[in-house]
Amino acid sequence: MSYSLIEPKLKPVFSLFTRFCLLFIALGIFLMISFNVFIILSTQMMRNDIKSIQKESLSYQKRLDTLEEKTNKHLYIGKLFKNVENLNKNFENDVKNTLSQVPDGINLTQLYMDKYSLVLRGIAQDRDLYDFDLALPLKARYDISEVKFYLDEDFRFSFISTNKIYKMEDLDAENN
Amino acid sequence: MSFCVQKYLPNLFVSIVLDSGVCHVMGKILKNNAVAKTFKTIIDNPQEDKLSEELISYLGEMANECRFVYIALYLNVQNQGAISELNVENFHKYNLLVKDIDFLHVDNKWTLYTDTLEVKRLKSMFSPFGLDLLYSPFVLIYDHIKNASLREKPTLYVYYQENHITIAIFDKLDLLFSAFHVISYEEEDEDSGDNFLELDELELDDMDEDLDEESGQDTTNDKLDRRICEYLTNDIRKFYEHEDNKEIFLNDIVIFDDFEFSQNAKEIIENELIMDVEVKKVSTLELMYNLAVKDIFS
Repeated sequence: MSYSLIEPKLKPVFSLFTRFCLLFIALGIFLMISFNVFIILSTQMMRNDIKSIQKESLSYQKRLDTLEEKTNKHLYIGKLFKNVENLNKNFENDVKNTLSQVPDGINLTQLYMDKYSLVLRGIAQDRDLYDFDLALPLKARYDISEVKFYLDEDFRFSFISTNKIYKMEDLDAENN
Repeated sequence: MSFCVQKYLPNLFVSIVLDSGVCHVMGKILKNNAVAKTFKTIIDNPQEDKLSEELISYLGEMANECRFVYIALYLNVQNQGAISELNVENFHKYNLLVKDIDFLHVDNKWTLYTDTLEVKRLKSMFSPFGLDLLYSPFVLIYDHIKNASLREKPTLYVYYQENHITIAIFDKLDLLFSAFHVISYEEEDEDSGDNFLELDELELDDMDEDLDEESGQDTTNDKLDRRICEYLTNDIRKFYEHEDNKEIFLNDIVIFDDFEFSQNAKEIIENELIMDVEVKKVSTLELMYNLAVKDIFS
């Protein structure tokens, strides 16, 4: 209960100007903090986005690697298939050539052929026929061409012709 | 007292009594419930409606000491009083117009009032600093008897200052009668030839004539003492004029003295009124300071 004819009033701690200043400072601090929080949240969101993008990128990379691997495999298979096809064609041609070079009067009973060798078994009417008509083309194609004649049970003139091409490894070993 | 930050910071409480050309000023810097510094001075203030340059400059210097300055002024204008009525609608019985007065219900026991124009004038006088508190002598008497000397019987209290005398009769804390008189030296008393003139409109009784006859021989102080006795006599007579007060027996007078209440005056009153007189020294500035601290921080 006051005893004063003028109502007593407690003086404010801060003047009106100071209160305005403090209000502006508080507002400024609030805005700075808000902006800071906004920046932090944005950064955090961006980091999360980057992480998810990185994860996505990794999964895409893995898928890409897998696809590349598959493509390479398919390419290799294709290449291999082509090689095999070529080899087969070559082999077919070789067989065709070889067979076409076999003259009349020589009957082949067995033929073994690979990349580096050709083994022919057969029956010839005589040795000259072999020497003139078959030996020469074989010698032209193979580095080593050997033939052995023998008489079979029916007293026919049988032969075994073994023909070889030097492998590169063999040549190197020979040189060393 | 409720919590407030200001209590722990330096607060300057300035108590001012403006009285016939001089200004009594006391300032106390209160910090954390302890008085850190005290100023006290008397400065000339010749113009009644304006603060002197010297006083403004002194108050300005004091105000620079603290962030929070509270100025409390002692109300010593003639247009003031106290009534036992609390109901505003009954104020007209005391010839009071509510729109023309500023009033205060003191502890819901009695009402203190003064002229609104006087309050405005005083506020305007202190406009460079702001007037924060305004204390009437009735409140100073009331606060003193409430806190220091509550008496069981109805008692007449006198608040005595150099140029004012405030009279109040309280039954415990209930106000029964009040009067405020301004003593002036401006005009010469026609009968006595001395410097005294009572400005209030009281009619002097037979005792005045006796006193006037002796005035030629009495000293100035003696005249003053007798005049105080006249005021008391007149006011007591007025008090008993009311029917309600006829059966009340007044035997004690307590005088709160803030000037130089003489032993002679005491003896005159005791002899004339046949009452027990007790004189207590008080300081208006200190009383106002204590009230101001209570009012501001409560």
